[in-house]
Amino acid sequence: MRRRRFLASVGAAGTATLAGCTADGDCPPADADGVDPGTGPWPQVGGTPDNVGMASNVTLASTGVTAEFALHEHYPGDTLVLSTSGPVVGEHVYVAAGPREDDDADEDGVLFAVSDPHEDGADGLAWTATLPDGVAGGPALLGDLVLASAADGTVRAFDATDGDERWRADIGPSPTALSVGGGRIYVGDGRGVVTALSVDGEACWSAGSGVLDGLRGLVSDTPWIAGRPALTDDRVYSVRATGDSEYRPEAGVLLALDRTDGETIWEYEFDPGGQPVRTPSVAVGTVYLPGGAALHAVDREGTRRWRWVHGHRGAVSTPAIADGVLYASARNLYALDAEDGAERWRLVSRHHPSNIRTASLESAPVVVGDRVVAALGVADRETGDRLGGDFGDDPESRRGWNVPGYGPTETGPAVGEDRVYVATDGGVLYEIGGPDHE
Amino acid sequence: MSEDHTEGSVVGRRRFLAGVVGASVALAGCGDVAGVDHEVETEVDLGAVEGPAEWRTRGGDPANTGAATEVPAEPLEVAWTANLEGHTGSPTPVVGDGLVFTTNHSGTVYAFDADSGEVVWTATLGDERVRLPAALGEAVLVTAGGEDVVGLDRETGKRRFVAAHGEGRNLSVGPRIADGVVIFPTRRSVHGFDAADGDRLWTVEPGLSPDVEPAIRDGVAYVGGDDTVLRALALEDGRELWRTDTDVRHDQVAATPDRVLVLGVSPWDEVHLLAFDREDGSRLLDRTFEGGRARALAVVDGYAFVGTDRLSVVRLSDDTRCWHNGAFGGGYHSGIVVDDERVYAPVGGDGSRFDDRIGAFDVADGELLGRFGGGRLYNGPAVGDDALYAAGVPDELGFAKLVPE
Repeated sequence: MRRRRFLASVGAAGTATLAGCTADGDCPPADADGVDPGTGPWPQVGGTPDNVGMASNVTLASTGVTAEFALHEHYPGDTLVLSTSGPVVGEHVYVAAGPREDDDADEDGVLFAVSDPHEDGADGLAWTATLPDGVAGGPALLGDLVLASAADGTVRAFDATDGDERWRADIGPSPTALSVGGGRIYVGDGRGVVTALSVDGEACWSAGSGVLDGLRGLVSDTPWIAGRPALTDDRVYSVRATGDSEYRPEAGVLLALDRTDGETIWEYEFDPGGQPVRTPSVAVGTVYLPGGAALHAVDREGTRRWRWVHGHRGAVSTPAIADGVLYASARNLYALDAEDGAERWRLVSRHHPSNIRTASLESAPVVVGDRVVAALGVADRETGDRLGGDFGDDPESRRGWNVPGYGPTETGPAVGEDRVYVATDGGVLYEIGGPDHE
Repeated sequence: MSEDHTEGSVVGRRRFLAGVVGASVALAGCGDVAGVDHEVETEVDLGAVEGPAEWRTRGGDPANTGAATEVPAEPLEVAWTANLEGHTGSPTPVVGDGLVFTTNHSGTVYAFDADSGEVVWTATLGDERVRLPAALGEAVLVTAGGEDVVGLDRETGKRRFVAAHGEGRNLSVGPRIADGVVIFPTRRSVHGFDAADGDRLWTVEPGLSPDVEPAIRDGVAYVGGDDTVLRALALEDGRELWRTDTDVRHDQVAATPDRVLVLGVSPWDEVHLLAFDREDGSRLLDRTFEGGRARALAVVDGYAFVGTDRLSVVRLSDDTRCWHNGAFGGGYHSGIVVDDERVYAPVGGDGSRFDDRIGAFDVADGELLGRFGGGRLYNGPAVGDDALYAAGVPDELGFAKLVPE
């Protein structure tokens, strides 16, 4: 209900206008050392500020589910199928869950700090915090804080150990998942605006597109920021989409913004082909843009190097990147050469085609040592051979998945010191690849 | 109109066109429908067309060229119509040895006498849905229940073999047969089976809806699909000879002696005609067409006949557009038949989608020479026994045999 709720609120409020880039002189200087990796093993969705989804030094002890923690059992509302964020890993595993976007439930979301997914009930839960009006994106860790977006248009900072709220910042409707790096927090919103916050929640700059010009945005041209920003030492890459539904965007623009002041360096326009747009990732100066019907490789100057059309009648995931190879989901799991997009291998989904639109593999993969984890499945990184787990393609399952709810979140897993965590839209947190547990 | 008269009419128009070749000219010939877009830029000059006189598979031959000989000359009339039980659908029939085979998409396979239109046999495959058209080898091949390819005896309709692929209800297009190998795609894989006994020879697993009929030529199957990759597979063992990315989802694939043609739609709803070198898969041509549908493709003597929202012709040697006619229509199983003089294809009615007929176009300039049949005929046509066969709802669900008046 994220965009629908936002549009309704704009309709009630009338006209609003944003334009260009605004900077706040009171904002403390950004970290001059560039983009730090954040706090904890997996401090933000995508792992690192550049969102490459790689944990090459981690070795998994197994290839299956080794624990599951039912978040929904600790959810205080009546929502049956929770919309769940991607998890992050620090002192605890942090994950947000709440009503689905297309659910009319007037309920809040919850940020969960899971201390031990092997423990049943409250013993496995360190704390919870309320995210008013629902969940709006994945959390992030910065110093001793865990940050989360709420559907009421705020970003909130909580003590990572006990969940006490430290501060909140008003952002705008439908804030995205958060990216952190270089002493800044970056977040997009449902107006197509990207905002940089200091570690204290002060707004440093906002980069918008001149939107909400009267009622124009209520029809079909309302832009929004899709996914979360990806960061490099000097830039913020973010995707602005337009249309009347984030499930069927009509146009997209990859924005290259100056990380220090939000000035636009260039814009790369693309046609999503009516498919959802995901978060970009960056490696060796190239931005890899999951632009709905195709994955685009865009160089530092904003010029397309190649484009891979996957053919799946759905979206392509954010790619994980390791050693010159991209790993992306688009019904099948693919390995592509980062240089030219040539296919290295594909893990073929055996999901029944009559379910093609309901449970296709579109989760962002992560690289874990010599393996690739996508959804709840584990594959050999070199060959694409299946090693274990659940890729959502069980022919005997009507939905493909053998887990409750709607399958793993599209934002992908988080990697701990020796195991992987995957959240599902059913409100369950799974541990994969951990040591066998009694 | 006699055949001689038609021949004279074509020659006369060609003489006229000789004076306007090179320019785009809007024409409304004697048979053209008023208000329908018809333009000629370059005249089509076909040599002698070689193609099967009996279409034992959709597209006429395993290479899906649409070329035909012994095609009846217009004007045509309905010799007989065949009604099928049920209400699910009526795909394009196939024709061979005096019999016409089809299915009703809902469990029954039919063999009709080509002369009389009488039913020779029916085969009811339990409650399995027979979704797809038959192809002919020694047996009649149909896909049943969305799960298997069933070989029926051509004379009696009795089962000879079942080729099971084990992927569940996963078929969407019909089988093709060449050189003793039955090849059929599922929405995940492409399988090769022995045509004699149904034994599986090989399986290739693209994993993303290769549910477009392959084109087979000289022992190589050219397989397209949703995954935008065109593959050349050795027919005998499924070995991949080459592959190429095309950036479009494929709806039609055809092979000539030197080219593989693909008609497909990009994720951005652009219809593309692509041509590739048959030996190595290198790209030779990429032309876009208006309209968001890729309905039918034929390729004859260096010309591609492309059915989108209209019928267009492209000369492949220099990527020259020859003519197009907006009268093209048809349904989910449209086809294009090309011979030396004319092109047969479904055409829409005068603004009514319930008035489809089989149209005859002058192959040289695309003039619509006439619309034939009764009721609705939107699938096909196929060629055989000096006649055309077109399916739809000629009176009830079924198909019609069209012969010269």
